[in-house]
Amino acid sequence: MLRLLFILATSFYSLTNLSAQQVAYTAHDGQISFASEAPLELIQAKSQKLSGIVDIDKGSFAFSVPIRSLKGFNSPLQQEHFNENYMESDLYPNATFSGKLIDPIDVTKPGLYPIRAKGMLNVHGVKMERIIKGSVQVKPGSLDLKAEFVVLLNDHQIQIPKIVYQKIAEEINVKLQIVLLPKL
Amino acid sequence: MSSFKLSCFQSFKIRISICLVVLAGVNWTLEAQTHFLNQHAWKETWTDLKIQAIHQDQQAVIWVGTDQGLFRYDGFDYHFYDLPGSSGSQSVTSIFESKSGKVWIGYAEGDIGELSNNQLLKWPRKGWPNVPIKGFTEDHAGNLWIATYGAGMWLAMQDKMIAFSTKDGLPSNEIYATIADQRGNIWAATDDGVWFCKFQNNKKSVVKAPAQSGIPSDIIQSLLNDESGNIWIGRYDQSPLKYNSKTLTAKPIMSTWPYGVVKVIEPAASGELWVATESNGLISFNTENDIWKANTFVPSQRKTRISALHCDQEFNLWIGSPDQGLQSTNLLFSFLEASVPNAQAIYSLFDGSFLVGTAKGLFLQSITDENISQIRKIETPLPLNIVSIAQDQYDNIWLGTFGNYVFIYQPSRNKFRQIGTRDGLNNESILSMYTKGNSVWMATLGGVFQIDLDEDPMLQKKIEIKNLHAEKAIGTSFIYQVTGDQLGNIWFATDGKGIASMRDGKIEQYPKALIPNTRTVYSIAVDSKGSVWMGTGRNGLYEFNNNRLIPHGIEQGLRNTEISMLIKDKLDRILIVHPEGIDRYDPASKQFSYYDQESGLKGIQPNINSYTIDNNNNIWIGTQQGLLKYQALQGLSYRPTRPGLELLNVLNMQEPVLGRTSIEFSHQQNFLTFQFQGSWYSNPSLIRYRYRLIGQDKEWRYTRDMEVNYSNLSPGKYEFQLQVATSNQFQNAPQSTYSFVIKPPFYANSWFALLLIVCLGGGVYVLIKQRETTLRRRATLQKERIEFQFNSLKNQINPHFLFNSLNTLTALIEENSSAAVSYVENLSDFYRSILQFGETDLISLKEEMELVRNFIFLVDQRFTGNLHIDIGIDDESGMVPPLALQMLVENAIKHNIISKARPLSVRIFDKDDKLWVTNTLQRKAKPEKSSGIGLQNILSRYRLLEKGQVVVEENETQFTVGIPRIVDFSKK
Repeated sequence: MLRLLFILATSFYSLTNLSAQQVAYTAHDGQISFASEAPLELIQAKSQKLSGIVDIDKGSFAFSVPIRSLKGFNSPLQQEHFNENYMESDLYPNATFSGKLIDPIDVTKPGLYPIRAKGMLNVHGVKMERIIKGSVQVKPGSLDLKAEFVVLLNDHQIQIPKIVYQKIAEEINVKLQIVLLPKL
Repeated sequence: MSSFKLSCFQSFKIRISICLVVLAGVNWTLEAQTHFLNQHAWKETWTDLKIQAIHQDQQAVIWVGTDQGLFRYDGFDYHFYDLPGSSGSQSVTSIFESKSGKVWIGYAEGDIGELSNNQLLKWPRKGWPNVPIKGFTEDHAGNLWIATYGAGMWLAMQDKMIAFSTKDGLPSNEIYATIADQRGNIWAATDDGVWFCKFQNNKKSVVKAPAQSGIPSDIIQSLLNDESGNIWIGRYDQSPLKYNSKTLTAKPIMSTWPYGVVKVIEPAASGELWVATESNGLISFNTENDIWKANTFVPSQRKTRISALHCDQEFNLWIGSPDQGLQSTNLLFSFLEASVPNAQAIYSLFDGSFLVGTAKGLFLQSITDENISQIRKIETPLPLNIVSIAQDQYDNIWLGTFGNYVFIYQPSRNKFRQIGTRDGLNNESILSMYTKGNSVWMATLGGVFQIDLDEDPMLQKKIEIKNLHAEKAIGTSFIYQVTGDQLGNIWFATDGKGIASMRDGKIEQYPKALIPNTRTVYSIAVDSKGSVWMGTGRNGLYEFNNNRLIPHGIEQGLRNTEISMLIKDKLDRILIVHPEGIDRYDPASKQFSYYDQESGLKGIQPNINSYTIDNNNNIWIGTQQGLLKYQALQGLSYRPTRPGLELLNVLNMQEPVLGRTSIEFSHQQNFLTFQFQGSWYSNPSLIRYRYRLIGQDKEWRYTRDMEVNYSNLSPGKYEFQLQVATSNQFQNAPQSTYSFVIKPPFYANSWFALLLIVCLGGGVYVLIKQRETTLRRRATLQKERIEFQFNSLKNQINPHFLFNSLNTLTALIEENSSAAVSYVENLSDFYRSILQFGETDLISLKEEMELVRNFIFLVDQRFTGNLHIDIGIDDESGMVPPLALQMLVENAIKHNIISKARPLSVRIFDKDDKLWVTNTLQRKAKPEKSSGIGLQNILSRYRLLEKGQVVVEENETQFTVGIPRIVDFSKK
């Protein structure tokens, strides 16, 4: 994963003008959580291992989270089912989202910026172009990024046996929160 | 909460009931209307299809683009159209139809397909990478522009492709949509607003839509134009905008947008926009004077994500979604959910609510601010059976009852006043009322009454009721309906006397409008052209125009003759409401349109004349299921009320021939198949065809199949004529034709006949010529023969021969009298033979040899052993010209010395099919005088007979002549 980020980061770097003004931010502290609100059961899990990079000048970004780092299921068996049956975490270890920021952010002016990011959401090995809404709180020396979105299991070919339909919602609400610091 | 009944698993029809949907934190107004949804299921061979684009072409055919390819939908089945040479999965990302009717298909892998003559072909042009094709448009010059998702815009010039990308100023190469506006700008929808692309004087220009246009710098995902040239702009998560083509400015339809992410937008009619949202289902927005209202909501079933919308020419809205497949709903009809059932009278109030009269009394049917259907019973002084409602100019409501006269109701003060016999109203059943100005007319089972109001009747002590004495004026007192037309005439539908009208207080009955077999008219509608439409209880629909009565019954296409009411819509079409549904007659196109279960109208069981027209010209009809709303939706251009028709394919011996420039086929190519599709998606099962092949069929043939075969057509000129209709009424039906020629085989051509005549003539000429030659030759032969015979005779009778013969005879008589006798016999035989054979062309060799022997006998005596004649013919078959051999022998004797010292030797023999006469050559020094005909004659006779060559050989010792033995007797 780090290698991927490194490649992404270096490619952004090499593509941009090698000016001193380039502003790239990397994840310092990121967490992501999801909730599946099915009629019979609420499933929630969380991971602190959300990593990412945002290049303000280029307006590009990349985020990644290892699926197995999601924790907090109702039972260890549920987590096992989640990883092995639904997400096939061995085959598809990471969920990623990378692309471009549509709305501009002025990092020199602190404030709350609503942003929309368009990119490829890769979950369960199935890529889907998404526009995800979020917000960035620009603070001196850091960016606080927050976003919420919905993932449809059907969109990513995550198969749920009919019998557990009542226990797993067809759409999963995802929340993420990340603090980004300028890249040194 | 929404309550919707799901029965889609058993049937294709899903009745979606929509009530108010309250979702946490979101408040918006939705009218409680239900649309009937038709499910268009795919066959089992196709699974997991995701619909991505829907389009109806100019021939009314519905095309469905899916992630697995393009399909044509005929109302029953889907037909897959394979893209030859496709680069991938054939996932359709866009469908576009040019002004000229050419359909372009954009694919996810960058392929472009063109539909021409019902064949999908890969567009051969190249240049762009394999990125999704998101849209097309056409500029003023007719050049095609292509919007790609990842490679910018492309312009297809005649000779080259011109790319517009970020290098030329576009903010992104990911273009969502493109459209051409009326000024010729080519719009490109991007994440950063709309950009105008232009190619002029070989120069590219890309500029952002100017700020004053009102087009925001937002994520623009869809661009659609409507029939008036306005452009609808769909944004990612904000209100759609309408770009007015006249003011050149865009305005959002809603100032706030609580509906979330927009997936698809579709302008359905003028003043109606449908929006499919990601999480709030399908919403329709209607406008009156540019004030938009969200008023219809189809709930997202288990989060259906609608991916495609298209409104067809019949105002069916087609809805494509990945999990529900293809659905359609007729936008003309919707039910007001949970409204008063079995209405007998409805009256639309100015505030959008209704007064509904039933057998059980009076109800106020309103729609709350939250758009919940709300019913309130209005208590009346008596239990009333209400059959008619009207409103006077003082806002009082007049309730016509069955059995209880009229009640005037003042809503503001909730007061009632009954009018009855003491006011001069002589009948207790008021079937119909009509108000105009300060007058109120009442149609009863006891005549017609008129009231002229000078002041509010609720304040008046005495109300004066005028009896119009219908019994006298019309001839009957049973009046079912009173209504007015645009010219100010008042019309009456009567029982027994047809219709009557009143103008300036004068009532006129129309004897010519009397309908055969029934005189009862329940319902009247007067159109703007002055035609009076009459609905009967059992005998269907009649039109009365210029004193002519025109039936529009079952034969003319009406489906049910039990007409409950006739209503004219705002587009001057007549709605005919009957127990089975609604037929709509368009006098302009003379076509019926039918609406029933496909539009949710099944078993509506309406009561007579229970309808009202609201302020927005919507028609509300009372049914068993509650109030049915009919919207006379109006496209800006004329919408057909006739089915579409397209000749899809013409096959000749299974070869597609439609669209070929040559329509001439050989006589063996005479098996034609015609494939076609009639489109009437409101009710595809009504579609039927009639066809005939001019040149073959004398009569129309009727079918419901979509294919017709003709085999073994004889040569000739043909025209295939095809018509489509939704009833058996084919007058003015759309027609499609295909002309072709089957050429006759070469032997039936006129040039061939000419050739044959020439050949025959030539043949006859040659034959005649030949015959002439033969005849001439025969004549020559005859002449030669006669000459020969004469010469032979002359020869033999010449004195020398006779003298010699007689000398010989004299000697014989002395020496041997018996030999003399035989000599004389021989001599006479010889002469007889000459005479006898002289008549014929040929004699047998045997006869000739007999003659030769006779001759030898005659001459042999004379030369006493000095003449040696040797006959060596083994085979005496065959024929020769008479006297030929004799002549040769005679010649030999005549021209040669015969003496003891030099005897003459003559040999006659056959060899190689010839008969030879050879003699030793010892010419007399003084040849005997000769007529010179001997050998010459033989030569010429053989030439004329054409039976071979006579050979004459002469050397120092021998003279030889060979004549052919003739074995072929054909020339005899």
